[in-house]
Amino acid sequence: MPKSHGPELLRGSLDLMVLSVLAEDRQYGYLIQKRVREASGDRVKLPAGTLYPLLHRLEADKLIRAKWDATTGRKRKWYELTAAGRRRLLRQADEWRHLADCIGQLLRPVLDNAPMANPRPA
Amino acid sequence: MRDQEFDNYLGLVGRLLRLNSRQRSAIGHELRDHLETRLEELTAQDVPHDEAVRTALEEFGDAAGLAHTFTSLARHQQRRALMRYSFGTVVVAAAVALLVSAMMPASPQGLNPGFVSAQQQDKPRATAVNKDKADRPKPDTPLAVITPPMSEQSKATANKLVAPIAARFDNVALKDVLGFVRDAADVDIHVKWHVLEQSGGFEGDHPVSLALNRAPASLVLELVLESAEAAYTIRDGIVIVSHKSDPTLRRLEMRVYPVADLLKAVAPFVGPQTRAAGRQPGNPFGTSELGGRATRVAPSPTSHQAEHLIHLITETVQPETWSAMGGDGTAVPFGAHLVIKAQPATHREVEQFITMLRQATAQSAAASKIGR
Repeated sequence: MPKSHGPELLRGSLDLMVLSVLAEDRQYGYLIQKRVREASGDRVKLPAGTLYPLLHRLEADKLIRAKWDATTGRKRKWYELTAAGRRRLLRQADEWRHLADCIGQLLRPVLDNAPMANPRPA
Repeated sequence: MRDQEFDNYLGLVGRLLRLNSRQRSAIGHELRDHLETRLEELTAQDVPHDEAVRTALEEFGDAAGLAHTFTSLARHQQRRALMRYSFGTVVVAAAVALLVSAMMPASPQGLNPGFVSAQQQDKPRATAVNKDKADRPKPDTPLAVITPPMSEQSKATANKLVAPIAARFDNVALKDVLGFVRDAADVDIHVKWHVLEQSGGFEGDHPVSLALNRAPASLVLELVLESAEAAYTIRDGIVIVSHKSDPTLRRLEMRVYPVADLLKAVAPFVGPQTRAAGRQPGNPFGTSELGGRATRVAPSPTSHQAEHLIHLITETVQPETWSAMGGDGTAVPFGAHLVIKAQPATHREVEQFITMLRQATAQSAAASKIGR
């Protein structure tokens, strides 16, 4: 029953998305939100009401660290990965790849036999 | 760039945050940066200022929900720190108990006294830990919280209440203030005066003072009602005002609780008089008598176990609030999850109860290991 695991998978995947965005460079909340939206082709819109509590949870778990900076004229909180966060990211990314491979193999016969709603041009 | 509406929104979030001033200030600065950055971006795209402000605020969502999430998160972190401390204490106590039992003379009950002894020693400890946990409000946070959808009329009313109004009252009667908000926001307001009067003694002539040049009507309403110990809810597009203790104002919340681990531990609920058949070893809840009929009944054992778990919850946590007892709470199984619709206070107790069950499961498993 894949649906029953939806919220759990989604919660895990949001953490993973944010950690992966921060793997590129340090970012502040608004940039993280934008980067997730762009990287997902507008399919994942991470509301601010979800993003900031998530960032604070990751910070409390010491997976990311934050620094305040006012050099741009505005007080802004920048986040970056910690070593523990980078290890978690690598481990979770690996787990996701294995899971995706496994589900892909399981679903292949289902998808191969299913009628396509929008058949691709030959 | 500062905007009055951002100030109002952030002011409301700040008031609702149950955190210390340093935490509130840090969250306020961070959220303001986001709102202002978004406003700049929208304005650069030639979106009119007022519309850009509204869009930025709408994207942020409900201030009360956001404040609640931050507060819950901070408390959860505090409780985790406490639990780490408690766990350490329990480990030390268990080590001392094992050392003492190893130094005591052998039991006259023969070769396998450990299990009995461990149970007897563990009993008061388990009770004490559970009591401690019962007093401690934190539960494992459910993985999903789904709130019931709003009707179209209620959405329209909620949208009207987002629009800013000017609210300047100097000792104006509550009745007149509510009439003003009704006209200014163009919404229907029904006030349960009899409940207000019975619960808090507040009447229509209760004086209200407020000075806001531009604030969302919802905020004006909240601040005005707060002074009369009242609150409001929106039902079918109508704003209903009553005393804050009025149960009709308490919104039912639907939450999904992942309980796969407890379903493994709980015995199938099929009636008390049947004989044992193939119970899993190490089951902390199951007595042999509860397992028999499961081998003859078609539905999966998991559904019986989920029913048993629901039975435990509805019999233990605020029993009068569940539908079987004429209340409005419901609990139904969904795979390895329980979907529970109840008032927030009931949810809190359900979470505590589930946490206690998890602890009891862990302790029983530990006791079984010691007994072997």
